[in-house]
Amino acid sequence: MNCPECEAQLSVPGDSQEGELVSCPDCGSDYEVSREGGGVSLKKAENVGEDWGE
Amino acid sequence: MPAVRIVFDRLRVEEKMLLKEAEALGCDASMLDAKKMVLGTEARRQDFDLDGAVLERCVSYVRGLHVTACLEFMGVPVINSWETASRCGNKAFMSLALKKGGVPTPATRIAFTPEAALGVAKGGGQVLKPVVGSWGRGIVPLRDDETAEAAVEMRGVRDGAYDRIYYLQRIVERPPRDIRVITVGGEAVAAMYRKSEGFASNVAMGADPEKCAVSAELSELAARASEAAGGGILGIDMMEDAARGLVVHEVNNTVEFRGLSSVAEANVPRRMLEYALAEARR
Repeated sequence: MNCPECEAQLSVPGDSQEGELVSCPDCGSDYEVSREGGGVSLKKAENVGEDWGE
Repeated sequence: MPAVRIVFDRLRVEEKMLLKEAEALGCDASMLDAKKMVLGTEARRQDFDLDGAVLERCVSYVRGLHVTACLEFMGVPVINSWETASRCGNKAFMSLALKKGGVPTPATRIAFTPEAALGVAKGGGQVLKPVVGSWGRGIVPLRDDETAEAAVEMRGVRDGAYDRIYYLQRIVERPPRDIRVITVGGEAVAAMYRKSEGFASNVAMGADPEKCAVSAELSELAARASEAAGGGILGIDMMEDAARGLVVHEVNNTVEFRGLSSVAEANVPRRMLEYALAEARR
């Protein structure tokens, strides 16, 4: 699987969960793992918002 | 089989720890991505997989608050409740609740214009904090008038809705650390020191977690802070004020506990889940 931003090779762990984050080692973009429909796909993760935290 | 549902929007270590622990407890456990939910006046509880204990664990305060309001509308009990979440996510609301509840807390002033904020900050000794936000971001100690003018001017440049609320708290003279206590149903289950040479002592900002004994004083104060917040599962932040002893400066609603779990004897996620399951059975 390639980074949609810079096309670097991305590895998605086989045991990754829905919603888990993976980061591109080259450009640093963050993606969320989606396992909808049985396959694995990536979608751009949200940017940190001002209301984020605990 | 008891059920646990964890509502999330960004999967952190904590949510994974909760899921793993729920499975270890033999629960029917699953995660619900809040970003994929559509809720509202026509939503019905039976259309969603919301059995058992529901933990709201969104990293976005505003999203979590709205999800909780919608779930409670459908009759789903949520941990934490909308009332608790609303109060904890806004430092101004929480400071007022702590003071009203008789919990020692640093003196805090809330101003609504840059001019009023600068009036409070004149002479130094205050810290300006974002009224909504976490992880120590945007916290600026205002030790002199020049710093205050720069910090207040930056607020004007950003000009978000919350930027117009100036939350100014007296700087507390304290050791270079604060104390994080996790309460579950009002009971202090674990505590840690967060040591930092910088101003903010958040683990997210690089502070070191170190074990802290849960003394009777700390436990009693944490219970009172929990009650002031509205109860549930909380992260209570305290400082050791040289003049007043322990003071509570913040209460967190979707508490992160990876740092505390690394030094605590208690199984923090298990205690959270046992409480949530007991509440769901009530």
